[in-house]
Amino acid sequence: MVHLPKIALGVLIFNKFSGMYGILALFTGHPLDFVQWTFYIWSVFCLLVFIAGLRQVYKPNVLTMSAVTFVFSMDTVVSCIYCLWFTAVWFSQEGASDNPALKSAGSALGPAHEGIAPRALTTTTDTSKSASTGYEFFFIMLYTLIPLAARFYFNFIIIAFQQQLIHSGKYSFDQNDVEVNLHNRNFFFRCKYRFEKWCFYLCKRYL
Amino acid sequence: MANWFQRTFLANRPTGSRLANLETSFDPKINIRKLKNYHASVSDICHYGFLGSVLFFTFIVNPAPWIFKILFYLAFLVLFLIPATSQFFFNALPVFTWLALYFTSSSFDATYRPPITVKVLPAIETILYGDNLSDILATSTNKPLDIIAWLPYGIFHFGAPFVVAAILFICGPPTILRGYAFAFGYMNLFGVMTQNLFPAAPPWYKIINGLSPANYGMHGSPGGLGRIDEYFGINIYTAGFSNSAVIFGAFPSLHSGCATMEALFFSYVFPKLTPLFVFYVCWLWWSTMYLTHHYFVDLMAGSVLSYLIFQYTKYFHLPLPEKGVYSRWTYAEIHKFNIWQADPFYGSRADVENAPLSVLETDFELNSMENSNSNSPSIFDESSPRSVSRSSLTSTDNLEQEPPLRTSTAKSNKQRFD
Repeated sequence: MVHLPKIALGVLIFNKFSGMYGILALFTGHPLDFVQWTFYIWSVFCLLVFIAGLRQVYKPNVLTMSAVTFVFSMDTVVSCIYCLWFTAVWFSQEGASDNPALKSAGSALGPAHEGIAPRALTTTTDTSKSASTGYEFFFIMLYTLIPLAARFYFNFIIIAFQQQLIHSGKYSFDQNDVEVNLHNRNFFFRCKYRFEKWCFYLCKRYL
Repeated sequence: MANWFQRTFLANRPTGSRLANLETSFDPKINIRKLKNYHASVSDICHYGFLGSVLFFTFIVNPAPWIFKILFYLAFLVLFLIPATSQFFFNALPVFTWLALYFTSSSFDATYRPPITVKVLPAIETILYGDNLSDILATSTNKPLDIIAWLPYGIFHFGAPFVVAAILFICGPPTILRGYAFAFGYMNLFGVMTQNLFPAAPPWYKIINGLSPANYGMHGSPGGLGRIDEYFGINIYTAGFSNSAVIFGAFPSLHSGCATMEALFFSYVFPKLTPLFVFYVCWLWWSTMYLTHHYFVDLMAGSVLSYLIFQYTKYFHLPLPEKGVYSRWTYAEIHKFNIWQADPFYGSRADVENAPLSVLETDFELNSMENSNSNSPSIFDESSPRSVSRSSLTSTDNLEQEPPLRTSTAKSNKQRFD
């Protein structure tokens, strides 16, 4: 079923837009550390690769899909590592203070707005319907693990799709034709082609 | 104006085609007769059973006087019975169900509501996306950015569903509007149900109150839209969001869901303009975070929900738009998406191109071709009925024996209406 890879790529593409917004910190002045920068740049790279994959999903090119499969699998591993890192960051910040200082507290609303709305917000003390620490922790874990589980499932779908693509006679590629055309292509295309070819041989070997 | 419309939309209308015509009768007997002859499928039972349950729930729970509620539902019953109105109102049943649930949400008793989470969304945002993206984007604000953010979030969002519906109705294939109403209604309905079952505080709450506990006695906040009220000397957004029906309904973002659904439907009908629609969604995402109304994880939840429902609707309900055709009156028949034939590996097993390479590489023996009964390919034995060529030319011949690429659901000249 081609529809599952399409859904997998679509969902991942939505998520990878986060890199674009993270990089906007360049213009807003919000401080980011090195890990965050690498995470956002990697997300933008994945976004470009996955968009290329989604555009071809009904008429796949085995080379492009090999690169997509490779990057998708790498992204699964990399995301798990980042996820562990950022989980540690969040809980260490939360543990440092019950009410952690916000990097930009209040700035988004501006002083004028804060004079308008907070009357009801600050006068209520009833906490009977606020979530307990255990309840919040349960949902934090649940909402972290569900996307990770979905990501692994999607990764298996993409791998299965690529496996079918490689073993199908319908989508084999003629290396010589592309090599000839490469002479007229620019540097980036040649790099892209070499990367895709390398991914193809890797996929062919292990799938 | 009439001439322009005639030239643009009706010029290529197939002779005698009534496919795009609307029902104009006000005789309820027509619909009653249809109802008597109607045989519900399993999916219909699930669809109407689910919507009926939600509508019954809102009918019981809504605090309005009973007489008003009964009159309101009777009015809709009349609209459903009249053919001229039912073609629009009945197909929009998921949308009305969503609206009924949304406007009833504010009246739910706090004792039966789930607890409000304030840490889950910022924590998930940090864990999955590296930081609070809303914080990043709202770190510095200024008047031009406020206006740019306000346009999609505070203006376009409310008018876009109607504009999209009107354009789809005119430029899309007949019956696409009912698919849009189905997808749009269900997306919003599931969204509001999730917001009620999992109440979570938006970014403005964290900015004002930190991560201190929340309760249902609190009022909402317009977030960054409060500045728009100040610029124009109005109180629309402050009053509206302070008394919102779902104050702690940050997850999922229905702003994001609606924008994504609109972009997906427009991309479906106008594929060449897809980058423009993607830009609109990105613009709206930015504005929701800049105005501190949603975390990025909320936006993702809304967009993914839209995407999944759109894919389902596309596969099972939507008519296929014809390339280069932008008028409902140009269509002579309706085709639907064939999920099997869209698969790139779809094909007969007899088609050699679909056979696994490993098999082909091992079963090909040149000497055995002359006397073999197998389907080994040869370009020399055209007369042999057993031969199958590996060339792509003959592979397409097999497709002729397969079901048609598109599934036609309507005969030419048969009357259909949105």
